[in-house]
Amino acid sequence: MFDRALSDKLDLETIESWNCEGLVNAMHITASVFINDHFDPWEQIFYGEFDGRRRKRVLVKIIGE
Amino acid sequence: MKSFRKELWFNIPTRREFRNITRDVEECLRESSIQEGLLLVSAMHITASVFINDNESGLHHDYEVWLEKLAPHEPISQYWHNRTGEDNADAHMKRQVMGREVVVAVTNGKLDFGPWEQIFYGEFDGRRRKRVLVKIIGE
Repeated sequence: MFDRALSDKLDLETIESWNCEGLVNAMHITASVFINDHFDPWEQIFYGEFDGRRRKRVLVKIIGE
Repeated sequence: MKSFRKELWFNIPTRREFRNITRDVEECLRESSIQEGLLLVSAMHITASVFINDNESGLHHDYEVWLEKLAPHEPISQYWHNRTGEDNADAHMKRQVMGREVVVAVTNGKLDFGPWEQIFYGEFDGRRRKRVLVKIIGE
């Protein structure tokens, strides 16, 4: 299921105001993080679940100033 | 910000193999002494992959079967690339599916992994010396 845009959970406006680099990755080997569109004209970050019905995590790591 | 670079060399004796390189990458991270940052592991050859998944031999067998269905090695003549005299067009396809590189967060001097994540080198055209690049940036 690709039912949730991670972009909605991240304060992208604040993050983009920093001088930083980062990544968002699935911490489980049966899930994905990818960017595609969401009925919007811009990119959105998605969590792709392929073996759900349990608690799983995504890591957000940002480095910089 | 510090940066660290190292090449890991392989000479896989067979055409195809999946090799767990997690320990080698962890050794690079120790050597870099970077505590917070980002780590890239990238295949420097276009017929090999670096990917993250489970260290489970059944799964690796399943990958092998699946990749062979997607891009069979034979007949060699089915690929235009092999008209150049090479026989490794399938290896280029397999690498494209399994990916070129991975990026891992570094937190407290460790690879910030989920519970089962391991890093693998996927060889699809071996029997020669090939390299993987490890690049780490951070503090």
